[in-house]
Amino acid sequence: MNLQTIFGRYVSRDSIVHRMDPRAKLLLSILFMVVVFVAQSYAALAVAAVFTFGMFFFAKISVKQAFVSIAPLAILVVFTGLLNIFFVQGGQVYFQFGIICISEQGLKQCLFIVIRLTLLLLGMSLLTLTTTTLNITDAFERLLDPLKRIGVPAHELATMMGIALRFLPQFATELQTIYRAQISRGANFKTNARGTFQMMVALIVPLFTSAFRHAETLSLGMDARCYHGGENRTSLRDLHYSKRDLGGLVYLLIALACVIAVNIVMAHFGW
Amino acid sequence: MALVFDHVSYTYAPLTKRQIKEGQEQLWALEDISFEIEDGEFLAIAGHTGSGKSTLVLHLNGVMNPTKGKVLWNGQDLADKKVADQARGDIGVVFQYPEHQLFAATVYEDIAFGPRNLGLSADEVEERVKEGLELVELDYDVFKDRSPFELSGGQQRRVAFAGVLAMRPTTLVLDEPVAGLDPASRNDFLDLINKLHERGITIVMVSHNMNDIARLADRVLVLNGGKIAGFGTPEEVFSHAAKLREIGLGVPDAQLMANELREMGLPLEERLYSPERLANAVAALLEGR
Repeated sequence: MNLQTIFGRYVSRDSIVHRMDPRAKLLLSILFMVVVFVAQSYAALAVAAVFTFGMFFFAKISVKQAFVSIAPLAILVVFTGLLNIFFVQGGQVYFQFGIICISEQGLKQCLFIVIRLTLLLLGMSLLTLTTTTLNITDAFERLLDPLKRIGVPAHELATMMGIALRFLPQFATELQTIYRAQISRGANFKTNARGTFQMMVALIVPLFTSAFRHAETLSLGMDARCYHGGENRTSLRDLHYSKRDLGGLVYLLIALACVIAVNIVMAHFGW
Repeated sequence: MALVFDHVSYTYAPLTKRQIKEGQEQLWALEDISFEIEDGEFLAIAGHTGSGKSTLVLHLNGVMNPTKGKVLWNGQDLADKKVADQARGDIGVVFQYPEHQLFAATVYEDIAFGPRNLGLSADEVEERVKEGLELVELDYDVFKDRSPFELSGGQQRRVAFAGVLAMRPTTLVLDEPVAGLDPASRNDFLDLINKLHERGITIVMVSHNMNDIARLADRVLVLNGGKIAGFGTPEEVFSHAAKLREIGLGVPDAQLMANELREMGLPLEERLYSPERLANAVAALLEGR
């Protein structure tokens, strides 16, 4: 049971993308999603793909590494793809068995969605591949800052997010330890349904108690250091937008323009 | 000879073909470990943090399998899943902080987990739970219906022990069984482990407390950097005080004092000293003067 490969784990490099302001990266990720969703044809997706790989080039992260980082989420892509095969109907029917029917439209739609989703995951993983969790939470808090006036607890939300991210690998290791202890007591995780349920309990209850234990220790530690939330709190590292961030914005705007242009051209020629 | 390690090596990160071509050297968590655990003995495994102790423990019941070499249980290879499943009833492993693995609503249910996994009948399971609690000196009627989470730390650890003992292992593997306990419960636990040993259970105990090892163990296996750095009776192993210090381990307090007294010119024999033995020897020397 290997839980070490976690989606988009930070990869330390010295690149333009790494040095961008985390706030800009967070906002540009949303723009990137728009670019991918605007693409309506294979040609437009291909253009979006070129720009996606371009981003990895600027981040000095190999495409292979990028695919490795989204591998844990491949199941999501496969599942969505299958849904499309079975539920989208139309065109020539290739295979029929009972209610299962695979048609031309379904296959086309499936391929399209799979490519789009993969691009989306690649783009999103770039954010976490090039930004430390500390910076992401920092950016998250600054972006929510204006909402503080209407009572949104921005600092608290960001802190919770930061703590949750920090504890993910910790819990992964602990889960492995618990798993080993239970199989040492003869637990077999592949018996019948009832057995499987019992085994899940034997894993999850200790994991939860450990989470509570950690939470208690952590809150004690925070109290001992006089932590009192976000009020009047200053930051050691101030965030500044720079030309790099402007460059990122221009890059994605060009991408968006290209994708829209391809869309229009394709629609015009009626492909 | 229930358990035999035959040239066992283990690595967490096997080199890729390209890395081998580039001439990178393989890092081993365990390297060429060979030894046998004799029936009924008390074997201590000592070593510095990161020396491979815990990795070794995971090999004892097939939770991990060697990259090279074999671990044999009654002559069968533990890398075989079926063999490992059988072995887990026979080789009980108590991990570090075993109380963190408690999960059931009652003490009874938690201890019954292991025996049930062995496929025993309800009557037999009850008998095993009673036996387990008796072995760890907790009262069955008082504790069976209580939640394990409302017990004290020491009691929780006893319950976790009972959960393993209820499987009636012939070999009990303990990874740092007294870590994080106060001095009084420490001694209680070590006495408990010693009693289990006297009942005929083979004990393998990971520890870095040399006093405990000297007092309890029949043999000591010293690990350093994944290799065997010393193996023998405590007397043999602790006679190499300088070598132990080199790899970051001490010798028992009494032995340390005996060594220093000898260096100061007192004619003490070169042997293993418990505090009592040392006191007697020094007293004898003083009387003779």
